[in-house]
Amino acid sequence: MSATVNSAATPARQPRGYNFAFLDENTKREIRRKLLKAVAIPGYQVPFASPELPIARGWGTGGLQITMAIIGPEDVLKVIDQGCDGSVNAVNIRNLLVKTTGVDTTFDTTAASIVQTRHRVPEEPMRADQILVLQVPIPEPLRYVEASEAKTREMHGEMDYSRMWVYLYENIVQYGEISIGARYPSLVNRRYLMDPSPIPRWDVPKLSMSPTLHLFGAGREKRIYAVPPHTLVEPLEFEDFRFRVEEFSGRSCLRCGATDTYMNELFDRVSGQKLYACSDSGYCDKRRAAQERRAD
Amino acid sequence: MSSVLEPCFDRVFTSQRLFRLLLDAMARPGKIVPLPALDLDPPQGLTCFMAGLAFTLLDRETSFAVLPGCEPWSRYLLLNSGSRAAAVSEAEFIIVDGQADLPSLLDVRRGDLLFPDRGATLMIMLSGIGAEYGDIGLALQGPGVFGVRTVHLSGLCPANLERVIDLNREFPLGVDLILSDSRGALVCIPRSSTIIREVCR
Repeated sequence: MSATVNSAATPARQPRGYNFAFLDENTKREIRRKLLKAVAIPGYQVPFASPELPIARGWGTGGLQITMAIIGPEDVLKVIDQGCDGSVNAVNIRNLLVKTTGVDTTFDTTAASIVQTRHRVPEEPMRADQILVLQVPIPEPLRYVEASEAKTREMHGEMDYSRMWVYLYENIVQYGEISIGARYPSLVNRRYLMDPSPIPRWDVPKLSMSPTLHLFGAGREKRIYAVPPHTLVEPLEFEDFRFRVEEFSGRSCLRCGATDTYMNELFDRVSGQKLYACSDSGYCDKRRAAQERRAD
Repeated sequence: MSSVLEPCFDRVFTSQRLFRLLLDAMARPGKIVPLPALDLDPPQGLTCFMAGLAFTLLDRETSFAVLPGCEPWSRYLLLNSGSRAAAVSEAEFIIVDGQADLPSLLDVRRGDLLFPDRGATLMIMLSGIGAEYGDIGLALQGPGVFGVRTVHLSGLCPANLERVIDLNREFPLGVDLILSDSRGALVCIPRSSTIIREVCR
């Protein structure tokens, strides 16, 4: 056992006008209690208080509150928005967290202990000592088929997902394809249907049987849920109509040349061509740096 | 009687550290997580480690239950966390010594199908957790466990174990366990785990 820790020998004590990680301790404790229940019941949406924050609801406050409740002075934080470390949502959330905690930040997925993300799972595989926090706009996968929260809660309780199956079936009949791209409904631990947040289909298989703990926070909708490590996450599919991820065959990233990543489509107005670039900017930069080192 | 107030417990940083260990343990059922030593002075029978975990989770919005005869614990927890003592059938947290035979465990909240998260959390003190303790071996399967993970415990009355298995027979209803021993080993067993009794020496 290490030395006694509870006498104020802990770092990061300089006055900053806020409690460490902005939230007051009562709010953090509530989120922590709910996180433990979310982990104990994988995929089940636990209601939580979700108080006001200096960032508007719907801009990642669910993920932000989870990060604030779990983060400590020794953590190394990475924040991404659509895979990018530099886009506005990521920058604002990172700045707020750094200002109120003083933690170190990184763009390198492998160097982070907490990764907060909007709409992507990093390309590089994550480890058991890392936590992925996902921002969720709409936590209820059954909202496609049922508007009432009381009803969807009942449907989850009874594991009655028949209307979702019918919805997918009707999609196939009408369009020859399931029209849900991001937010693909997935069954967790063979029990709860979950909205994996608006990650592309590409990222859904990464949640399944991963060594990493995934925490999902929906601030506006006041829900927390989790996918623990080594937990089965199965996208809904039919025996004769399988789940497919996005197709990028024959395309490569214009920056790093990758052919095995999730890519954004760009349009070159001058040449009229469609171009592709990695969505995970940290990983793309890393590959480019490695290529430059080899070229030297 | 020991000094009852614990002004030295760092409610910001020690709580955060203990919570991360709890989260790791809950996400990986059966994993033994060592807790840091805590300079606390809880009443007889309550360990520093369990007191620290209680301060991390309890506050005036929650309720806890202890067993008859453990009233000094109630006073200590109330003074230091603001949490209310409640009946076993009402409380969100049940703090007990695993050795005692506890028929009242069957009355704890298991949640309902609409809100299974309302099931109680059992915080149980044991005499030993780890391979060198052989009274009870539990093989765990389920989310958070790669294959099967076995954990050895001593100081848990076998009847209590049967009660917990009974409480958790209908997932998602059930209770979640936070176990810790007198040396600061922490193990969690959420209701999502399937408990198979393996060895009984």
